[in-house]
Amino acid sequence: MIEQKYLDLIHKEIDGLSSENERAELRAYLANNPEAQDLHRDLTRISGILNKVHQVDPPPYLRTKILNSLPLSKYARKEKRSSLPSVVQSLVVGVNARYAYAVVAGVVLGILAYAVINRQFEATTSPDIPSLYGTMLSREASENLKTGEHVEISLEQAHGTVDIKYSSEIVLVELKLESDQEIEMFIEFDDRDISFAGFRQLDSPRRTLSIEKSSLRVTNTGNHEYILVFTDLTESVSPMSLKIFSGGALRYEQTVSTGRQDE
Amino acid sequence: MVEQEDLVLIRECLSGSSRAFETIVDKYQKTVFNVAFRIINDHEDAEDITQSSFVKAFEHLETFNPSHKFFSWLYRIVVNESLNALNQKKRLEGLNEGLISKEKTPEETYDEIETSENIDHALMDLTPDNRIVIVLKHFQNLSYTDIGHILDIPEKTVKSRLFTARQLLKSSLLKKGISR
Repeated sequence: MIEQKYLDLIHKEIDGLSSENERAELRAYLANNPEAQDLHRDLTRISGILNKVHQVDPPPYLRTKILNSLPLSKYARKEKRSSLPSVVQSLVVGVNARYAYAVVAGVVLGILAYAVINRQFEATTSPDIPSLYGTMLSREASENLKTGEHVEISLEQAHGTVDIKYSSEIVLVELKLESDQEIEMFIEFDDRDISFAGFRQLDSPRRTLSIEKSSLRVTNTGNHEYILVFTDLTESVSPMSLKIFSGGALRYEQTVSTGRQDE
Repeated sequence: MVEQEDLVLIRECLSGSSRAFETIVDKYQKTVFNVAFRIINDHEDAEDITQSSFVKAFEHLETFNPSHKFFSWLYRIVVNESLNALNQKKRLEGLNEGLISKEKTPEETYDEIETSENIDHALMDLTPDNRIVIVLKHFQNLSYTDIGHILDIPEKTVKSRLFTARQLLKSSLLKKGISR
C-alpha cells in the first residue's frame, strides 16, 4: 500500500516540480517500499516514452483548406459601394503611409463574364507555368484571338490597362500596371466553375502572384505586365466575389455572375 | 513574448488583415493537428477538427480576452471540437473494436510497446477526459495551470486526472506486455 502523499511526490518528481527536500524524502520512502519502487519505475518509464513521441505532420494541403474556409470579410471594414455599372466596377484605392492598394477585380470580373475555356488548374501557392502558357498561346495564336474588353486604369496611386483577348477556348487577360508604391489585386472565384489556368509576368521571372484554391492575388510595384489565363469547368453561370483591400481593410465587396460567351 | 506576438496578430486580424490570421494558422497548425490527432486517433478526423477549430477561432476572435493566453484559448477550442467529434463518432459507429490491440505475450518486451501504435492504442483505452490531460501534459508540455485554464478545471483536478491517467496507462501498457 502506497501512501497518497508519496503517490503525489512520485508524480511531482516525474513532472520535474519537486524540491531537493521532496526528492530526498521520496528516495528514503522508496528504499523501504518495493511496491512504490515498482510504481515509480514504471511511471518514470512510461513518462519517458510519452515524452519522446514525435509530433505528426499535418498534410501539406491542410493550410490551404483552412484558409479557404475562413470568412475573411467578417472583420473587414466596408466602405461605400461604387455606383459604376457591374461590368466595370469602380477601383477603390486606400492610401496609408506604408503602401497603397489598387484592385482591378471588378474589371477582371467583367472580363471573366465574357471568358470561357476548359482547362483544369491545380492550385499552388507559387505558380509558374510558362510551358502551359506557351502551349496555350501557340495553340490559340493559330485560332485568331479576338479582342475583348479594354479598360483604362487611372488612379492617384496606379495607372494601367486591362485588355482581354479570347477565343472559343481561351481567355487571356493582359494587365499593364504602373505604381510607385506596392499595390495588390485580388480576384476570387468559385473553383468548381472557373479555374485559373496560368500566369506569366512578361518582364521578370519574379513571382508576384499568390494563388489559393479559388483566389488570386497579384502584387505590383513599378511598371509591369502580366497575363492571366482562365478556363471554365462547367457550363453554368458562376458567381464571383470581388474584394478590394486597402491598408489591410476591406474597402469594397460585391458578388457578380460570370457567364459564357458562345462562339 | 509569444503571448505579445499573438496579441499583435489578433489585433491586426480584427482590423481586417487576412495575413495576420494566416500567420496564426502557420504558427499553430501542427500543434492543433497533433492535439486533435492524439485525442481522436484518426488522421482525416484530425484534419477536419483542425480546420473547424481555426474557423471557430477566427469567427469568435473578437470574444477572445487578451488577459488570457491565446494558445490556451485555441487549445480549448480544439479540445471541445475533438470531444464533439468523438461523441459523434461513438453515436455513429459505436466503440471501435479495432482500437483495442491484442494482448502481448510475456516474451514481448518494452521495446515492442515503445511503438507509436501501441501508445496510440493505450491512449484510446483511456476515457477522453484522462486522455486529454495526458496529451496536453506529455505531448504539448503544458503546465498544470495552463491545462486547468484550457479545460476550465482547478489545478488540483488537473493533477488528480493526470495521476489517474498515468496509472491507468501503466495498467493498459502492462496488459499489452510490459516486462519487468
